Formats: sequence, structure tokens, C-alpha cells
Amino acid sequence: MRDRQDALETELSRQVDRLIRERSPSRGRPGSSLEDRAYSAALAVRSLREPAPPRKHYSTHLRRTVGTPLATVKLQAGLVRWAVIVVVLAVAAGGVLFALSFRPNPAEKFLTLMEATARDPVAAGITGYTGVLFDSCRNQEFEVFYLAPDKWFVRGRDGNEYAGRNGGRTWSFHRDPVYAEVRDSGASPPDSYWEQWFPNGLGNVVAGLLGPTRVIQSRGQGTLQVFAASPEVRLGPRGVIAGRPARALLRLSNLTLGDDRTHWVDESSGLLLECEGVGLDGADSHIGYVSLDLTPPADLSVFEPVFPEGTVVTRVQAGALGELAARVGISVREPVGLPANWTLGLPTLSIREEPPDGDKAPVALWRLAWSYRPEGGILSQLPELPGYWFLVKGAWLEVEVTNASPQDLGPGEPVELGPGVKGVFLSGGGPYSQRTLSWSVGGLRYRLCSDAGVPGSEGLSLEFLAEAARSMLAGD
Amino acid sequence: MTATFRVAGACQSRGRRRLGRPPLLERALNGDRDALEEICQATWRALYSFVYWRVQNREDAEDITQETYARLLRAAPRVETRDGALLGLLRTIALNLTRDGWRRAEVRGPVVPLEQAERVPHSPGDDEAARSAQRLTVRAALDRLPNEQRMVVELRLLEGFSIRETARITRKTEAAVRSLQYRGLQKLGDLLNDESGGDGLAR
Repeated sequence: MRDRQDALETELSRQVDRLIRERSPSRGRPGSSLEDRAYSAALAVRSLREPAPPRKHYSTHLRRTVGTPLATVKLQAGLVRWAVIVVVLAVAAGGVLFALSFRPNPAEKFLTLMEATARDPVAAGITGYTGVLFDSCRNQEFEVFYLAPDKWFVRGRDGNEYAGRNGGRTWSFHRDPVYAEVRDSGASPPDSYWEQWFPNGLGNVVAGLLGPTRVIQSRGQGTLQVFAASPEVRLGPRGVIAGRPARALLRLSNLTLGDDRTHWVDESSGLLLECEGVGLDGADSHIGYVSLDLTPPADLSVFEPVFPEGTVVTRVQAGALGELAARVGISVREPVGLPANWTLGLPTLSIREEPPDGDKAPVALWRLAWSYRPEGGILSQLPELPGYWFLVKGAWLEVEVTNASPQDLGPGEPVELGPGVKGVFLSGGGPYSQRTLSWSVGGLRYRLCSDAGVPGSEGLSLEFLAEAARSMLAGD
Repeated sequence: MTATFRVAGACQSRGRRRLGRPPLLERALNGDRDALEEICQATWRALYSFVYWRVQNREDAEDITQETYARLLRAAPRVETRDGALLGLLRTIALNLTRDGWRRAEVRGPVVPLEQAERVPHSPGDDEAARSAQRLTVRAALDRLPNEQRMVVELRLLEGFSIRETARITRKTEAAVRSLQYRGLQKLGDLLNDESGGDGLAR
């Protein structure tokens, strides 16, 4: 009963937060007449104040947008005349856009501020803070702690998930399924899910805003990342988020595939306060601060990785391939015959100390992994979007060697790789899916994994994978 | 652009009251972009203000205002109204949009047929009088709330403070602030409902 009451109070509070920020009520607001009456009362109280004016240039936008359906009507009535007008307008618009391209973008001021805060948070006045983030996708609040320059910690209210960084080291924990990981310096991805909420991650946020639109398409078992060019960042309306004056940065692209999000940025510090948008599934989503206190946290112990007792922790380290292989007592050969512009990514070694199982001694399971990617990517067209060209960076080759379940190659098509070495090839089918080739030698399991390319781009065939595997086996 | 359109009553003053589509709307439907721009230019501020008063947030107010013009064009072929009633018609469309669940699942009130556009008051004086009356009612109801509830409601909705900031100002926990806000708004809703004879607020 108390839980339900808490949920109602929290939900009403969220709706009030949205009103304060001049936002429409979210979909999940209470529907009973009682809560509806409370919400109506909130609207009534708000009516005591002066209304917020519309965004700057709203009237221009309105006149332009409202005219659109009208143009369609006229096109049907007089196609030729309108076609001429459209051509003239297009030429004029092109001229205007050309002229505008030389004008400074007002959004740049905020992007510069964000980059300055990322470089030196203390100089930007950020020594530390605590706050609460709400993630609508998970419908959960997360406590946030930050201490300049590079310590942060995020913890779900339910205690089932947390992540942190202390200098170069990062860690994360999920309770269901249980997974705990500590990454040493160099092995920590700079663009983790949580990083954007801290000064360290703002550089990546800016790069993401200015960089090409990223569209992640799932096809079959595989995932393809498509990068489309020509995004634009515009200054949006003002608002108040977590009690702080904020400005919206609108990222516009020439696509209708989604992934365009509005970033709300703190006007004085450049911190990211909220991120909202429509996902590829069409659902609205937002994650952002519901409270933020720019006072360093009192309890510094949160910046040390601590896991529930008995948790098996995976430790990840990065380094040179030969050096990492030597740590687990093996030597590996890199595949040969890869395209000339493919480069080696940072190899990582993950080690998990399994607890004793009955009479069996404790064992360390490890996984050595590295990858190759083309430097520039591949220009391609997708059949469902024939009007656009994309820079596709989905082509890659990953290599994995592990001592876990060495004989378990899984289902697939048998492939002869050499004397006494049989491999298994598995393709997800379809143009976007992954292809894997696995084999077992010397008590270790090897796996090559690639994407199958997209129409018009280079895909990695079974023959290619088999040759790469044989080159790694040469001399064994 | 020739400035031939005037809001509410310009044509009446020339004694041309007649039923049928207003000439400006007629021109807009025939593809006269100037006419459409004139309609927008002359009416959008009043319309935005009208919508904002009902939804109390800029995002909805902007979207509903825009959608109102789009619906006007779609509905115009079947609308019969007097020359000076265009703003009234726009308000009726906007009112329907706010009531028929714009971005919300539930229905918040009866939908008014477009043909009854003139029943919606559209004199600026009427609007202002209604708003003043409502403000007085709301102010009086707020004053009847217990002090703590009133303070939390005012800090949140009038001053725009977050839950945490409100908690700090009132020296209470965030949970207590949420609870006070909830009970305060419930109580306020009851008071306003009683005041309006059970019909809720005039929205």
C-alpha cells in the first residue's frame, strides 16, 4: 500500500517536473480521477504565473510548416506551375543555406563550453557533485556521485546495478544475471553508457553531436552500424532541469530513422542535464537529472570498487598481443591476408577466477580478444533507403582465443581447416548478419567473427574466414 | 503582402456578415500562401496564449497551435462560419485537440463539433475575465491549504524549484516534500472541484 502511494507521489512529482521545464506530460501519468484532479490542480496553480513565450522564431517556423500541406493541394491543381515554383524555391533555399553555412552557429558556444569543461572541470567550476538521474527506459532512478577530475559512481536505487570510474580503472556490476567486471587502465572504454553524465564524457558527447548520424540496424543475429552524413546542431529552447537553467541542443539529420536526440545542457557549466528523443522502436525516451547538487560528495568510499560477497569478478587488462598471450602461457599468430587499410584494435585479456566446485580445484578462465577494422569505412547504399549514401563501419573481424569450453564449437557447417583440425562455420543468414568460424586446437577454442557486409560493400566470405584461420594455424 | 485580414470583426464593420467560408480561408484553400500567412500572422499569438492557458507548458502549446492550423485546412471544406469567426473556429479546434487527449490516452472533456465554433467564447475580453476569475479562485483555494502544503506547492509550481531544492528550503526530506505536494494538490483539486460545482476547472 505504501509502495503504491510512493509510486503515485513520485509520478505526480515527475509530471510537475515536466511542467516546470515547459514540457508536455509524459505518457505514464496516473489515470485515476483522483490523480487527474491533482494534475488539473497543478495546471491551475501554474496559471497564476505568466505564460512562457514560445521559442524564438516560432512564428516563422509556424508559417512555414503550416504552408506545407497547402503546397501539396496546389501541386495537384497545377503541377507544372508549382514545379517551376518549387525549383525556384529550391534554388533560393540552396542560396540561403550556402550563405548560412558561413555564419557562426549559435549552438557552438555551448559546444565550446562543454569541451572546456571536459578538458578542465575544476577550471570550469566543477569540483564535484551528487545527483539523481531518471532513466525512462528502465523506469528507475540512479544516484550519481562525481569528484573532479576523473572519479564517478552511478548506483541504481534498487541496488541491482552500479558502475564507476576511478582514474583509468572502471568497474561495473549487474545482479541479474550476475556479472562483475573491473577494467584496468587502458582497457576501459572511454564512451561507456554512463560517461556522458560526467565532465570526462562531454568531449564524446560533443563529438557525437557533431559527428555523423549513427543508426544501428538489427538484422537477424547481427547488428550493423550505419553512419549517415549531414547532421546539424541547432540551439533549441531554454528550460529548467533539476532547478538549473538549461539550453536544448537539437541535433537534426536528413534521416527519418530516429536516433536524433535533444540534449539539454547546463547553461553555466556545460554539463549534460538531460537527453531525450524517440528510439528506433518509436517510443519516447529520456534520461536526465531530477536533482543535481554541485557539492562534492562527502563519502569518498563510493569511488572504490566493492562487490557483494562471493561475487566472481572478471578482470580485464589491455596490452600488446604477444605480452597478453604470454601471461596465459600461449603464443598466437595474427591472421594474414586482411585488406591493407585494416588496423589492429587494442587487445584485451579477461580473466575470471572460478570458485572451487566440489573436489575440483579453482580454475582461471580467460579470454584473449582483439579485432581489425578498416580505417575509413565503406561507402554503401541500403536498399530500403535508396536516396542516401552511408559510411558503413560495420565491417570488422574479431578474433578470440579462450580456454573456456574448448570443445564446444556449437552448431554449424563443418569446415576442413588442416590436418586433424575441423572448424564449424555459422552464418546468421541475410545480408547484415554475423558469420563465425570456430575451431579447437591444443585445448583452446578459437573463433573468428565478422559481419557479412551490406549490399554494395565488401563482405567477409566463408573462404576469407577459412584462409584467415589457416594462416593462424600455420606451423602447428 | 497586402494586409487585408483583421482579427474578429474587421469584416463585420463593413456590414458584410454572411454565412459561408471566410474569403481569407477560401483564398488559403485555393493555394494563396499570402492568405495563409496572414491568417497565421494575425491569429497565432492569441491562439498560442489560449492553448498555453489550458496546457500550461510550452511544448504542448506550440505543438497544438501548429496542429490547429493544419486541422483548419483539413476541416475548412466542410466549415460554414462567419467572416469574423475564424479565431473562434481556431480556438474550437485547439480546444478539441487539448480535450481529445493530445499526447495522452485519456479523454479530458467533451469534444465540440466544428460546426458549433461560435459557442466557444473568443472575445479577448471574455478570455481575460475568465482567467482573472480563475486566478482569484485558485488563489483563494491555495490560501485554504495547510501552510506546509501551500508552501511546497508554491515553491514547486510557481517558483520552479526541484524536489531537492524544495526539501532544502523547507528543511524536510525529499520524500516528505513529495508527499506534501501530492496531498496539497489533491486537496487543492477537491477545493477547486467543489468551487466549480463538480465540473472541474474551466479548461
